[in-house]
Amino acid sequence: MLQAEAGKIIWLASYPKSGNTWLRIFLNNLMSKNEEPVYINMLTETGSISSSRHLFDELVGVDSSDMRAEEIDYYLPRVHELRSSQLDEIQFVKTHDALTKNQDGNWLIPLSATYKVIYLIRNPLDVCVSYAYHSGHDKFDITIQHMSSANLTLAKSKKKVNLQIHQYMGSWTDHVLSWTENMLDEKIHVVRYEDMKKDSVETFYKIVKFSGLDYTKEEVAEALDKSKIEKLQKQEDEYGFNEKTHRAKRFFRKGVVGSWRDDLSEDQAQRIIDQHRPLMEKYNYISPDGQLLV
Amino acid sequence: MTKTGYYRYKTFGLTIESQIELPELLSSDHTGDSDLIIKYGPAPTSLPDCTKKGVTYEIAKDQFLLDLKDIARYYISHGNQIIIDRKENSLDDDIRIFLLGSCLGAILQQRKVLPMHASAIDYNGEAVLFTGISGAGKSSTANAFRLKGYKMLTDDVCPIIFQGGNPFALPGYPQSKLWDDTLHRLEVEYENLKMIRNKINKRAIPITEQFVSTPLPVKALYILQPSTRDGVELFDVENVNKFRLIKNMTYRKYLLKDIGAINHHFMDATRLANLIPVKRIRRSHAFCLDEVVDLIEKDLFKIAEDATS
Repeated sequence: MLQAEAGKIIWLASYPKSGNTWLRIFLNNLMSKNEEPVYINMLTETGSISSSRHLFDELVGVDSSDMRAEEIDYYLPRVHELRSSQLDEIQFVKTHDALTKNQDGNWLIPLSATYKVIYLIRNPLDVCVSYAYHSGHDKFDITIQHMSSANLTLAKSKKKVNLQIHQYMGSWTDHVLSWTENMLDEKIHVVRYEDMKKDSVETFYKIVKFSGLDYTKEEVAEALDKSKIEKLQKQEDEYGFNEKTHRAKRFFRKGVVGSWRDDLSEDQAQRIIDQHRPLMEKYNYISPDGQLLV
Repeated sequence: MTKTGYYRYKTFGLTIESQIELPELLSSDHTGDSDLIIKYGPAPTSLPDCTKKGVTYEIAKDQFLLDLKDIARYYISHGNQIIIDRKENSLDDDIRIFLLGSCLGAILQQRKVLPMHASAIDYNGEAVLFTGISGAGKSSTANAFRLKGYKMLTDDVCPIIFQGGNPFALPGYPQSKLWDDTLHRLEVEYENLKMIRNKINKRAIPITEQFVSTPLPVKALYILQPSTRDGVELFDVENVNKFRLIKNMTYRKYLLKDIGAINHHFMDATRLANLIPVKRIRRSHAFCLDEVVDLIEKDLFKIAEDATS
C-alpha cells in the first residue's frame, strides 16, 4: 500500500444533491480573507471537480475526447495522484464518483492522492425530489429508477463531448457503501445533511477539525452565515450559477429537510424505502419498525 | 533527398516526410529536405533531462516523449522529427489520432510557432477563428459555417505566424471531426462516415471541397464559452484581457514553458492581441448553433462596416 500520508486531497464526496455545494461554499467563505461573502461562480479556495475534463486532458497530455471510457479509467488514478503531488498544501476537491476500481483493479480515486474524505449523506427521499428538479423535471419515478440503478453514470454520453468526464455512481446505496466500506475508517468522516441543517455550527466545526483546519467556532458560524441559502439564492438570481444544469430552473432551490412530503406520493416514497432500507436505517432516516425519522 | 517508402505531405505550414501513411493530410509534391520527418523506430523510455512529467508525457528542452498504453511511444525532438515506437497489435487509426494531435502540437511549439486551440473558417479571404476549451463548440461552429457555404482552414489547431507584422492563420488538413450528436443536429448523414477510432462515436468528415490550403490573414477571434444561462450573447473583449485569453487558448498550453517556447509565445500572443478583435460568445449548454452562427455573422458584418467607415 502507498504511504497513507502521501495524498493531499480532501475529497468532498457525495451522491448529487446532498449538500456538497453548500459545504464547498462554506469552506470558501471560511478560508477567504474577504469580508464579503465569496462569489458563487468563483470558488477558488477549493479545487475543480474530480471529473474536470480540462484538468484530465492537461495532466494526461492528450484529449480525453479521443479516448474510450476504459482508457480514461486506466489513466484516472494517475491523474488524481499527479494532481495531488503537484499541490503545495491540502486541497478540497468535490467528487460525485463512487469509490470503484478500474478494469486493472486500481481504485479510480487512489489512496495515494487522498488525505481524507468528507462523505455527505442525505435522506434519499429528499435527494430524489431535489435531484429531479436539478435535472429539470418533476418525474420522480424516473429519478427513483436512476437512484436504484447499479449502472448510473454521470456524463456518460458516447455521442457527444461533455465538459466533464464520466463518473460512475451506481445506485444511492452503492454510492454510500462504496465510500463507507472501502475507505480506511480513520480517513473518512461521514456527515448527514440533516445534521448540517439542524446543528450547523457543531457539524461544520467537526468537519473543519477533521480536515485539520484551524478555525474557531465563531469563524465557522460567520462562514455559515455568509453561506445561507437566501444569500446564495440572491447571488444566483443576480448572476446565475455556473454549476446549474441548463434544464433546471435554479440550483439553490429550497435546501430544507423533509420537503419530499410535498412532492412524493406514498407509493413513490415506499419504493425508495424498499430499495435503500438498510442504509436508511443505519443513518437514522427510518426506524427498524418503519417509522420515518426525518 | 527523397527517401524511399516515405509519403510526402504538408500541414500547418510544414512539409512532411512520413513513413506512416496519413490519409488525412494533403499530399505534397515538394522536393528536397522536409521540415518534419515522421518514422518508426525505437523511442527512449524516459528523458534524462526531463523538467516536467505528466501522466503520459515527459518534457525536456527540445524533446517531448508521449507514452500511450497499447498504442505507441512517440519521441518528438527539435521540431523536426517524430519517432513512433508502436506497441504490439496497435492500430494505425489509434496511432494517427494522437500523432496529429499532441505530437504535432509539440512540434509546432518546438518550432516556436503559436498554435491556437481553434478551428478556423475563410470569411471573404480572411481567417475567423473559433476557440474555447474542449466541448465549447469550436468544431461544431466551424462546421455550421461550412454547411452554410464557407470554407474551412483548420479544425482544432490553428498555428499563427506573422508576416510583415501581420498575423496569418495556417491551414491544417481537409478533415474535421464531429460527434454523432452534433452531426445529427446538423442534419448530416453520418452512419457511413468513418469513426475516428474504434468504439468512439466521433466521425472523420472529409472536407476536401470546402478546404482552403493557403494561409489567410486573421480577421477575428471568437472565444466560445458554454454557460448555464439561456441564449447566446456576444461581448467585446477589452484590450487588457485579450492577451490573457489568447494565452489561455493556446493548444497544449501546459507544455510551453518546459518546451522552452513560452517567451516567444507570450510575444506572439501579445502581438496578436494588439492586432485583432477578440470577442467572447457566451452560449447556453443547450444546442444553439444557429443562434451562434447568426450572431457571429452579424458581428463580422459589423467589423467589416466599421473598418470601411
